[in-house]
Parts: sequence; C-alpha cells; structure tokens
Amino acid sequence: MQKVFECELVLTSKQLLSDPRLNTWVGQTLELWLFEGV
Amino acid sequence: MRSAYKPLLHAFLEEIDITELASVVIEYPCHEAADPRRFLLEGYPLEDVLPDVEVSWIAAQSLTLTSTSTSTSIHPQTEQLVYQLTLTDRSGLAQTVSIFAPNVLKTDLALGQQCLCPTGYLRVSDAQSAQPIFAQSLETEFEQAFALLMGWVVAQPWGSNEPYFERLVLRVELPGAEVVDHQGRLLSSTYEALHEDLYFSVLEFFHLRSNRPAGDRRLQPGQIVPDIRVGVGAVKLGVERCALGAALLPLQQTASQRAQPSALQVAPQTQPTGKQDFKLDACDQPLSSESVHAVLASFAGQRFEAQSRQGRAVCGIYRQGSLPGIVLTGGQHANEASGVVGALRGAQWLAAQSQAHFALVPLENPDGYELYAQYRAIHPQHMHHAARYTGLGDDLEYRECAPWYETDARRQAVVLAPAQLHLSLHGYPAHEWTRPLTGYVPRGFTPWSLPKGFFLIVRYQAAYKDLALQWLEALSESVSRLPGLAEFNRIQLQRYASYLGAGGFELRHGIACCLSQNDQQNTGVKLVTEFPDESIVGNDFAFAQQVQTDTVRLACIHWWRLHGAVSFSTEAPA
Repeated sequence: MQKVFECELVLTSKQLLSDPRLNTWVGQTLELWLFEGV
Repeated sequence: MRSAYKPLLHAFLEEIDITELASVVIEYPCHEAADPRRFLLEGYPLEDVLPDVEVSWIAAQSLTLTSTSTSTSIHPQTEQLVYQLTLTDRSGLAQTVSIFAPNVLKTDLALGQQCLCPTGYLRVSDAQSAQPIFAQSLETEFEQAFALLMGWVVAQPWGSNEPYFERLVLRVELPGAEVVDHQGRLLSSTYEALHEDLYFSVLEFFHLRSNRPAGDRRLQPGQIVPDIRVGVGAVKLGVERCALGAALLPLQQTASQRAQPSALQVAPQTQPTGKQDFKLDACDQPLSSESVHAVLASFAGQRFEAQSRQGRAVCGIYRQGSLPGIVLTGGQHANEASGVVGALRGAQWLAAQSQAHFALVPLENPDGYELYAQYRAIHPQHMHHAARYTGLGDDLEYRECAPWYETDARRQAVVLAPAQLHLSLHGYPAHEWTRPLTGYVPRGFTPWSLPKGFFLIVRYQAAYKDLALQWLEALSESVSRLPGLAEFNRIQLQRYASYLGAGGFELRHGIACCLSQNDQQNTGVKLVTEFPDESIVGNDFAFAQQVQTDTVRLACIHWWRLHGAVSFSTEAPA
C-alpha cells in the first residue's frame, strides 16, 4: 500500500474564529450553515 | 450553527417547537439546474421526525441561480432557495417560517456537469432590525475534502490498461452529523453521503475515460475504497494506492489509530459456525463468510468452486433431481446481505424436496463481502456501495471475457444444472441514498434513492415471455401474502410516492414489479429479488432474510407447477 497523497484541512468553523471581520460583527447576529453537525 | 445538509429536517429536529404542532404545509424550492424533486427529497423523511403531524408539500416556482462560486457580498438570488412553512398548532394558530437551503452551482470534476449542491454559508444580520449586513457562501471542509480527492484522481496519469490498481483507498477523517430515529435506525449521515459521492464520482470518472456509456457495469478500474471516519479537529485526507497483485490489508489495520469510532456503534458480532448451535432461520445480521461456508458444507451434492480476483473461494453445490432445474445465487452485490441468508435457507428447503434439481452459489462476490464486513465494523448502518462490486471494480454478471474469476462459479452452476430459471437475491438502500456533492440526487439511480418495499424484477428470453408473465402473476400474489409484507410494502410505497411520484414500475398485489425482455441472459427466466436491506440489523434483517427465503420457496413451487410437476412439498419448514 503506497501513500500517494496526504493533507490536512482546517475546519471552516475554526477558520472563521480567526477571521478579522469578526470584530466588526460584535453584537450582531451570526448564522452559520455547515456540514459538521451542531 | 445550522446544517447545510438536509436543512429542513434539521430545522425540525433542532429549532422548531413541534410539541403543539398539528400540521405543516411546506412550499419547497425548485431550481432549473436540479431535479424538480431535489428539495422535496432533501426533506425526507420528515414524517419520521413528525409522526403525529399532518405534512403537506407544494412545489414553488422554479428558480434560476447564476452564482457559480462563493460570493463576497449579499447576493439576493442565493437566498431565494428557501422552504416556506406554514405551521399550525392544535389550537388552530398558524405561523409562517422560512428555512434557508444554501446551495451553489458547481461543475463536478468527474463528468464536467453543472450541479446544484448544498454548501456552507455565513449570514450576519443586524441584531436590532434583523436586516442582513453580510452574507457569503463558504466552501466547507466537507466540500473541500471531496474536491481535493477528486482533483487528485482526475490529475493522475492512469494509463490505458484496466485495472489501474488493485485497490485505491480514499481516506477522510472529519466531523459530521448523523440522524437516527427513535428506534436507532439511521436516517441520514454526512459520512455516508461522502462515501457514496466519492465512490460513484471516481467510478464515473473512469467510465468517462474508458468511453463506455454511463452505467456500463463492465468497467474494471480496480477496487475503489472510500474510508470515511469520524474525526475531531483538523480534517485529514489521504490516498493510498495498492499496485496490481499487491496484498491488501484490512481497513482497520491500515487506518490510522487516531480515528474516532463511528457515532453508531454496534457490539462486535460473532456467529457460531458449528452446525449444531447455529440457527440460520433466526439470523438477524449479515452472516460472516465463515458461517456461509459452514452452512454450505452441510449440503449433500457435487461441490464446485471458482476463485475470486483477490484469491477467495467462491463455492457452490449442485444436486441432481427430476424437477425442472433452478440456479440460486446470492451476494452478487456484496452489500446486499439478506440475499446470502435467503439463498442458503432457500437451498435448505430445496434440499428437503427429494426431486429438486438445483445449483447454489450463496456468496458470489466474496471480495466485496470481505470489504463490506470491514465497512460494517466502522459504520454498521451505512449502505456501503463501494463494497457492491468485485475486487476488479466491475459487476460480475457483466463480465464478458476471461479471466472469469468469481463469474466462473455462476457459469459452472448454469452448466451443471441446465436450468431455465435463475433466482438471484438482491437488496438496495433501506434509507435515503444521496450524493450532496454532485447534485444530491444519485445520478442515474433516482428511482433507487428511496426504499419502495420488497420488489421483483423479472427478465425473460423472448420464447419465455408467456411463461414469465404467468409465473410472475402467481408469484407476486403468493409473496403478497407473506406475513407482514403487505403492510411493510404499503408504508414504504406510500412514502416513496409522496417524494418521488410514480416509480416506473407496475404494482401486482401490492408488490412493485419490473418485467423486461433480455435475450442475452443464459436462462429462460431470471428473477432478481430486491429487499431494502442496506444496512439493517436485528428484527429488520430477520424479516428481510425470511422474505427472501420464502420467495425462493414460492418461486420454485410456481415454476414447477407451470411445468406440470406435482411431487414436492408446498409447505415452509417448521
């Protein structure tokens, strides 16, 4: 068995936590649709 | 946070108060780039979530969505795909609610077709006025994982000779969501959906590359094995390629130890293989291949054998008699496990008829069956279509030239028992089958995307048409009287009709039947039984294998009667 491809992805929800725009949305309503379950 | 996959179902599970709900009218969106039933299907099976609520569906006017990628500003069109609900409680009070279904148009990498697919989405609204400030579709890790793996497959120089590999493992470890009903039956799973879409998309890519028509089952790319695990934190992707002829390790052995167990675990399954303590009639889960061999060893008759692509024995038994010959097979598609038990039990009944003349191959595809067992240990209720075909990646029935491998067992069976009736026991998904990354509705398999009860497919050579018609009429009438089956079929057919409409099949005595001529087949008449058994356990499986078993018995009785034979028992074993 030869490993021919490998990579890691950051969760979309994690990425959003480091999004600089978050600061401008403080106090607003954020709705997020994802596949990772609630 | 909301679910991008099946948002309507999740809204009722997670947000909408249903304690006083009496009825709901749902106007579902339609889009010109999708099957008109696409968003209706994505609501399936709402009736299971709302058992005491009257549910009605109305199609909205069809939309055109032009957005083809993630947008960075509010795009009015992207938010037009909504379910409009009118909820009425027991006091008669009505309210309206909108459920957004975020979707984008994508060009899929396998066939280059445009598909309307669920996607991630971010909406920011003013806390006071509720007016949207910002909205953006997001390509989530679920979509990225699929796109990256498909991109890798498409970019490889595969050469021109099939098979391209012994096995191609596509690993994804990621968070996801599964929904089960109050009895623990799986209703939906993002893990399963990713498995299905990866497997079929890779298969479609190789199909297109081979210039074969869509759906051609002769393609032999090798064994395509998505391995989807429940993960937390970062999403891990990997591809492992096994060269032709290389030894194959079990998935559990080759998978990283870091993977979390499935959300739906079952206790380790053990089956006694000793003849004395093994009760086949009470079997409530797929048999191990060892158990299949143990039961087969108990038959008297002439043994025959073929070898699978991966070197496993494909075993059969032939017994001579004066009644018209019958070939009985199971496990052609290895994830359809109730037919394996049905074939063994049906053959036990045949063996008890002194003049029955038959050949049995209960497990035609042991390579697929081994993979199915490994898959079930990880996700016990998934449908596991990647285990359906052989180690070569083809459907053994459609193999046209040597090396014959597992197909040789069926060839021997037909020669040994020069039969004009072939009973081939099959199954299909017991819950909804989806491909959310390529348009949601499984391409080419729309009628198979929901269960529609136990049904019968009959194919006949031209000279056998009248006989086949008479036989199917008698068989369907008898099968409809099997205990519990009429009600089981009625419920599933009613549900099927409300989501998919007329199914392109005729109903005979409450049994869906498909009848067609096939002069290429090697028996006069062939019956394919279809029980929704992917993947059920417990009482559901026990019922499935009992129906398969009884159908074999009834099929033989009616066949023999039409041939004027009288010396056999019509009774089911006690």
